[in-house]
Amino acid sequence: MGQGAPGLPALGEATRRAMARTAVLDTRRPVADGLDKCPRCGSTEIGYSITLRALYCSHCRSRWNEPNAERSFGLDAPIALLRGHQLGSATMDVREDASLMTLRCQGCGADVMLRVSDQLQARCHWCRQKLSVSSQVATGAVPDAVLPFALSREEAVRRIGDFIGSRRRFAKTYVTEGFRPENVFGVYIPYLVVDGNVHAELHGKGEVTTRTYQVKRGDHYVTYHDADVHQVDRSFDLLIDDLAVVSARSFAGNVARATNHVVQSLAPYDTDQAVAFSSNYLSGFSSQRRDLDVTDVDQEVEDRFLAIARARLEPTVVGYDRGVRWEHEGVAVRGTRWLTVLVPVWLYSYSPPEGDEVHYIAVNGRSGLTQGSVPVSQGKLWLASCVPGALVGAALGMLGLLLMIGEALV
Amino acid sequence: MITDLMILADPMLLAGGSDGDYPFGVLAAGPIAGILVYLGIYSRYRNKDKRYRFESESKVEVGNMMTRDAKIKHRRRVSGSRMGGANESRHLERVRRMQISG
Repeated sequence: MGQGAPGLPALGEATRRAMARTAVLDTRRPVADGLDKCPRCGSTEIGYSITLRALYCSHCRSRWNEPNAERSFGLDAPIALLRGHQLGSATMDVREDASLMTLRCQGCGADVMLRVSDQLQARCHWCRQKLSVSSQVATGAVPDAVLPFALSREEAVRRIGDFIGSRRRFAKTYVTEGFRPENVFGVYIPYLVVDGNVHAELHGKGEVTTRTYQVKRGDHYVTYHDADVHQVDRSFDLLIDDLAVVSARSFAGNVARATNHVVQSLAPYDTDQAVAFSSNYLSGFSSQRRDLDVTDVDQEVEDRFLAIARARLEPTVVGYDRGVRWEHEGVAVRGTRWLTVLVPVWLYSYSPPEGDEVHYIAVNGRSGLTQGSVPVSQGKLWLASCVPGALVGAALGMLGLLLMIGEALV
Repeated sequence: MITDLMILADPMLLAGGSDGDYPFGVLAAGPIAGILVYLGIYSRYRNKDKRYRFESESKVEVGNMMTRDAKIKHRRRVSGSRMGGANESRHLERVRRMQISG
């Protein structure tokens, strides 16, 4: 995407002006670090069941879910009323120095240390109870909300198998021979989800054909057009709901990388169904830590606001049959609201021979949308391309020969 | 791609309106068909063109639309059915940024 012109505000500046008025939305659960107990029996043996679509206690078999994040955090207020900049309390800037944390087991009093950059639960080594991080440590590991898996692992394996199966013919051998369903993992990937109340303006030129005619030039005719040129200006408000941007550096940015475009093409997610975060939802899955802050992605978000504005304007300029050339554009951000949400992805990666790029097949853990990159055997592909090329060439050669013979006879 | 191949297979198009172009068109048709097959298969396997079209699929409400369309001049005898630099459908391409107030 392009950069702002010299002398004009840099990308993201409109968002930063709104950020000067920042409020923090408290998205913390009222639970202390340590034992995160079953509300019915007090056990800590809690996991997430995709079949039940709920947290369940393996001791008393009760099941429940954390409250819907949007409603419990008061995010269902109209976007039109948004002013300034609101951040979920887990969306504050990531601190790299906050990676170690000591949890005190309320069962036996032992202190258990864990690396909260990649681990939010641990067992007390004395009494074996499960300890959970419930506070929003600033490592980026704890989000405001989580969108739990809805698609079963078996279904994800079937979809990945079908994806590879339908691309078997030209795939590299290690892909087709080495599909290992046990290497399909459930991963939570962090997104920054933003609502925006913005005002957009665009200025440009549009042309309408008034006459089309042909002029003889030598022995052939040339088509010309007369056209009216119009100054085209549009100014409007946009209320954008749940625009999601990847907030893990390894999956963000350059979509030319196989990993990035696969993960980013799995959107959209029904983030309005996300629930308040509890580390029990991550039990049995892995999760990627957020390592991008709002200030790292605000330029991209502002570009997206402008892209949305341009797309919404297209129906208003259909009368310009020769097209519209937008020349200036801008947004004023009146208000934004940001939350970090973990979204569920089933991920399968190949183990390539040394030197090869790693390729992924991924399944949206909510909708089942499957996307992937299958490495191609260049030898097989060139061979397959040469056959139709040769056939077309030969057929046209024969046709040309016949036409030339026909012309010679006439 | 099938359409492309059909166009290629049309000897009138290959002839390009002059006798001298005909052998070149015939010679080029085979490699072009091969390249199209290559690109089609590669694209299906690697899927690099796939992306979420957030600009048209995001949940968005539009309000207070103000439009102004004013004729500024008339152009005569222009060739081509599209104006130069038309970009109304290229939503991801950014143009000169201006500062506005909300």
